[in-house]
Amino acid sequence: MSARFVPMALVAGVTLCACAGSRSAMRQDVDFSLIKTVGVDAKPAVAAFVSRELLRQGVKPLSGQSRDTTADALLSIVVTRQTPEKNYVIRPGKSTQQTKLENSRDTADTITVTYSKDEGHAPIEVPGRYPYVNTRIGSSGEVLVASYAQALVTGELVRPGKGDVLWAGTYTYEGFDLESALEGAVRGLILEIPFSK
Amino acid sequence: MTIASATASATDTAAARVAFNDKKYEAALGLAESAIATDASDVKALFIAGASAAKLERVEVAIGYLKRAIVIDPVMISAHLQLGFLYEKTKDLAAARESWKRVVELCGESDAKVKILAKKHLNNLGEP
Repeated sequence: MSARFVPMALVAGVTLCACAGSRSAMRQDVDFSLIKTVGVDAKPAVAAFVSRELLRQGVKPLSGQSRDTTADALLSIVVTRQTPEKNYVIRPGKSTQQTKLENSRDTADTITVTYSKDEGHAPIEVPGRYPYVNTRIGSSGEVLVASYAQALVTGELVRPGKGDVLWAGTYTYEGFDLESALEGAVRGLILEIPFSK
Repeated sequence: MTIASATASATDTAAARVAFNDKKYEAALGLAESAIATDASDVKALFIAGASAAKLERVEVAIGYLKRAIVIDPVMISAHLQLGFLYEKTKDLAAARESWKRVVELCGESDAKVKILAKKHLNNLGEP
């Protein structure tokens, strides 16, 4: 199997890619277009998404025992974090504030909001990487404060048997609910793998 | 619409908002629908009805209310944003792309984060 990977340079290089929500790195000396079958290593709830996205990329997914013996590469995907959604419709009050959490690389902004006219409500915390405060609702002066469901997935593509890591990446995505977020995160992560290069 | 009915609609909409924020989505939907019955052009009530129906997993109902909201207020980013998420949920990716494109078009500097989100979703969904 490993002979199918054609070295493209004598010295192995690594390319890094970091876009909004994604970070990945790949080996420069590997021709990813030669990878035609990929063994899938993920929990069942995630594996179906992974297989579907691989098929969309023109790659044949393998599961079960055959993945370890016949696949060109093995793709392991782990769900690192899931955060449920929170939505509020508010009139921004004086105490509306945005707090940047320090010492938390992958967490994000937290918003604390209060109702300006609905007395008796405790402040609300809306955590998440993307709290959106400026999406107005009509001309009412009220806004939607929303932190959508988020999923962070981490993946590694390795050469079977040898364990060489060919590609590694993470991807964060937001969705209406956790299932949508996870589906989008898996789709985004697999799109980062340069199968067509 | 009379002043009395406008007042009734506004009262129901305000109560719907409080119920929504208290996570009483069934009550919020009922109050918002009552407001819409009195004033069919109440975009805030349409939005809250859509958001509440979405929380109750009545996704098609939610989409219906949000579409009505953007007919009345085509530049309401929050409704286009909700629709983008809901169309992804229902796997209507063509409609999702259209919603995200509208969000990108409508976002100004004060909505920079929302614009980044919408662009990310467009990249993720790819071209048809």
